[in-house]
This record gives sequence, structure tokens and C-alpha cells, in this order.
Amino acid sequence: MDDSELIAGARAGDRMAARRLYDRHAPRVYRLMFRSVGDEELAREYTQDTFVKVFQRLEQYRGDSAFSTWLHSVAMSMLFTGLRRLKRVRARELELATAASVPAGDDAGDPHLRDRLQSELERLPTRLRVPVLLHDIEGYTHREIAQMLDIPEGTSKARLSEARARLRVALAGVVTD
Amino acid sequence: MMDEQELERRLRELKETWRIPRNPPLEEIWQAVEARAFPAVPERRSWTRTVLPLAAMLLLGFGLGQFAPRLLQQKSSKPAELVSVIPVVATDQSRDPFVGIATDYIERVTGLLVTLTDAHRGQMIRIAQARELLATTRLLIDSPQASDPHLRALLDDLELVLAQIVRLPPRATSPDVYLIDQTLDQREVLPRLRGLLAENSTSQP
Repeated sequence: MDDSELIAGARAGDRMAARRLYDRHAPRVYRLMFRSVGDEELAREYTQDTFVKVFQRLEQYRGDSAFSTWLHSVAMSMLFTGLRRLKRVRARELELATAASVPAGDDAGDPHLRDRLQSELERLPTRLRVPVLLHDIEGYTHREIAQMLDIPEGTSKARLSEARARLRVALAGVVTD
Repeated sequence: MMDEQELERRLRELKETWRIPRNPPLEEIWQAVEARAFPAVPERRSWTRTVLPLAAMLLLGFGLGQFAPRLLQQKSSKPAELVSVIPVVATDQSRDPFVGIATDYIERVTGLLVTLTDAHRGQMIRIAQARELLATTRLLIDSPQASDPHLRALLDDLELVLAQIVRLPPRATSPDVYLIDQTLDQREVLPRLRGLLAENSTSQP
């Protein structure tokens, strides 16, 4: 059974169809969330919010793009909303905490390229990290990324280019493993 | 400096190694998705009419026992003032689904926060319930009907508290709960919630 049949079933209230649609796409969405935030609890929360919204708005899916692309655009929206909230909540926690400490996270001395690449990737701002994650690691095309993030294709390319340039600068002189 | 091709190759390699989730809780996520996206038709009206006044009385009773000594020490009458400015959430639940959801939510979140005070005495904090309530909080914050500034401020504070509870370790210790306790205290969350419940119960037909 393909996605369109499952979507039709889910729209008609068939929970089994909805479940099969979920089983088909949830692993990739969860992995994407986990890679984006690096935290199991947040990945679970954002994946859950994504699928709730997808099933609540299934009527709005017109089939103009692949279902997975539409689903991932919802996922990205949930991710960015979640990250904004997280930033706000953490800022308020810091306001309240009397003995809160911020982890230094300084591993600049790590000699291994792969480890340094991972840590530099994590340090990129979200707007640059996500295109790298989607294009270079997850293998999406710029066209798909543009649809997911609701940005022009050229912007996706430009952000990826900027991210790579920053990574190359950050990794200059690192010993290769 | 590393060239473009080398960087691309290195990034592709990360696909197999970087942040691979070990045991994605997909079944657990589905249970939550199913409950939220395909909810059973609730019999809210009769249920809330029966339980809400009782819950309000119980909470007020609990509040008197729990907080009266502290309140007596305070010279200011701030909680009472807060209660008076909190908007009445419900007047006719049958006309507005938001009111029913909000009322149910406020009862449950109050129950959870009251339980939290018991955590100091070694009881389990219900993280799963907090997670569910956090999701509802965010839906309510996003709702255009939650435009009242007092209600929004309360929801913002509840979001903060629930997010803190969700991030607690399984065996939370007193220092873990301290920050939450501090937030509850500084923002007078429980008095505001109790005020909202009390106002709501008196407005029931």
C-alpha cells in the first residue's frame, strides 16, 4: 500500500492506516530530530508534536510534493518552534537559578578530525547546521530542503556554502585521523 | 585548509556515526500521538460539573493547610490580589470547547503540582503526565482564545515549570526539585491556579 492510500485511510479516520503511515516515516523523523537537538527527550517531544500536527492537518496535504517532503516541512517547523521555546525557557531558568552553571564545552584541543567536525557542526547556528544536516548527512536535495524550510532553493545553497566555509576554517590545521 | 570534496566526504561519513539514536521510543511516541490526534469523544460537561467544584474545594482545603502558615508570615496580600485579577475561564462550557479543555487542563496541572510538593517526601514525580501537560500547555498558548494577558502569563509560567519537571532525572533529589520549587514560589503559580479554579467553580451554573 503506498502513501496516498494510507493518507486516504487516515483522513477517513482509519487508525491502522495512520499507524502504518507513522511506522513508515517516524524513524527518519525521529533520527532527524535527534541529530538536530542531540537530546532523546526533545527528539521524542518534537517527533510527537510533528505527527500530531500532521494527522490534524492531513486534509491540507494536496499532494503537490511528496508526502515525506510535506511531513518534513512540518517537522522542521516543529523543530524551529521547539528550539525557540527551549531558548526562552533556558534563558528564564538562568534568570531564576542561583547556582546554575553553563557547561564550557571547550574541546578545541581534540586532535581527531571526525570528533572536531562533529563538535564544530554542533556549534554552527541552527540556520546553518540544518542545511548541512539535511543535505550532506541526510541526503536531501536543495529543492526538497527549500520546500521543507520554506525558503528559496538559492538560500538553501547559500546557507550550505556558508556553513561549509565556516567548518573548513574551523578545521584548518586539525590532524586527520 | 581542507578542500570542499574532503569536507563533503567527511560529512557523509557522519551519517553512520553521528548522533545515531540507539532505541527510538517509537511505540511510546505513537501512543501519545494517537491519544492527541485521535481523541475519544469526551463526556466533558457532566464530568466537569460533578468534579470541578469538588476539586476546587479539595485544592482550597489543601492550600489552606499547606500554605496558610507561609501566608500568615507575609505582610503583603499579593496572592489575594492575584486571585482577584485572574480572569474567569468558564461561563458556559457547552458553547466553547476551549473552555472545557482549559478547565480540564488546569485541574490536572494543579493536581500534578500538588503532587510535586509531595516529592520532597519521597513520592514519584509523574514525568509522563508532565510531558503530556506540557504539550497541552503549548497548544493552549498557541490558541488565539488564550489572549487574556493574565492567562497567558500563567500558561508561560506553567510551561517553564512543566519543562523543568520533564527534564528531572528518574530519581529526583531535593536539589533537583529546588529550582522548580523556587519557580513555583517566586511566580506564585499555585495560588494563581487555585484562584482560577475557585473563580471557575463559582461561575458554574
